[in-house]
Amino acid sequence: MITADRISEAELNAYVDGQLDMAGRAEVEEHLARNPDVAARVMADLHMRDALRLAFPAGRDEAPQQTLAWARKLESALAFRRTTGQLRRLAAGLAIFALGWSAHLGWNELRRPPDQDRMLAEVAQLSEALNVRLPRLPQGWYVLSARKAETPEGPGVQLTFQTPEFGRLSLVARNTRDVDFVLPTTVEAKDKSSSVRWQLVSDRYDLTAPLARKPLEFAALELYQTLY
Amino acid sequence: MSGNATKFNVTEQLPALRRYARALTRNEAEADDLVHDAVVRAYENRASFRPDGDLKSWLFSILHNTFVSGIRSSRAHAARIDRVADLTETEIGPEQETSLRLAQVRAAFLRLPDEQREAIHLVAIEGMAYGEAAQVLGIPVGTLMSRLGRARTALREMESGTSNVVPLKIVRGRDDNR
Repeated sequence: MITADRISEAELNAYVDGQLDMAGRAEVEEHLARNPDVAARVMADLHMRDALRLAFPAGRDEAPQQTLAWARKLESALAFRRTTGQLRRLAAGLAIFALGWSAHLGWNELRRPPDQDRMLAEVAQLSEALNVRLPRLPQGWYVLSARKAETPEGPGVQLTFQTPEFGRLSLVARNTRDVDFVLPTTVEAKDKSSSVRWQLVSDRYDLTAPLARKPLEFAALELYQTLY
Repeated sequence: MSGNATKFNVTEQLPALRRYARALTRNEAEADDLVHDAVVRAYENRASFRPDGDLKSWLFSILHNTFVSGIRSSRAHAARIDRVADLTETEIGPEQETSLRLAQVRAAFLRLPDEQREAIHLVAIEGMAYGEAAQVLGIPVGTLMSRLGRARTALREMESGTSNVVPLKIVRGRDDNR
């Protein structure tokens, strides 16, 4: 005999479907204790649910290659979009910063920078030879040197820049074996000097300069922005 | 400044997506095609994914929509019901094959009408909350609950033997001994 009380059919189903919180479950279980025929039906429903889960385990075999490839493509695209959103907020900070900084460093302290046509050609050549994307030159920046360098991940490119806002910068870029998207992150070395690292797909970059942390991060951001 | 970007693990969702696709299409090859099409569609519509949203729900929604839009243009919807056999014969694993009851449950599930089968798959097998499942299917929660109720009733009837289905023979579609 089912007593007329407040437990509805919907609640019983919700109980079986695991949709109730602890309090809700307690209420239903109390009702079931008083109504054995309802309890029997609920038990049968729970057994059915378990049987369905056993009858359809998630497959052990891998999806077809083509599908896996598209899945990975989607993963990269989603990760990239997310970093872009964060990047926009950081870029706003950079614009404000650069305005103030450029007033400090002037060009009259410098010697004449080397021929940029030649330097840029060399940069392009190194980029292709070592299979690593190199940043485009921001406005007002000069390439001082471009050469091959050895890194823990293998051969890469080292570039040095002269810049109005940040002074002299050194960038090491190389192609690695893994794929990742890492926003410019400050890395502190044992000697307390800082560098900023980032990664786009397989290309990893490290920027060092005799700068405080914040300006160094902004310099890295400026280069990062030219890479996509 | 922030560090690593978190990976959005689509690959990890593939087994569950393939399982749902098999429940929808009741055919292994079609299910693989459906999942493939859905992943491509997800890529094309990646802008619709909110970065703070739930990846699993989003992918399941796209899979479901891809299936629904496919059905409307397909000629063979009725033929699917006859091909229940395709899936019950698919290799799932020896430990399950030897269980008569699981074979019966599988057959009963696959015989459910589309809308009941979808609902019960998402809630009972995928363990989704009502709200999440309703969103994937594009229906109100109330509608979801009534479909679940009907599915449950149908499955109960199978259990108690009040349905007129003969469980194992149906695998071949016809009784060859007759």
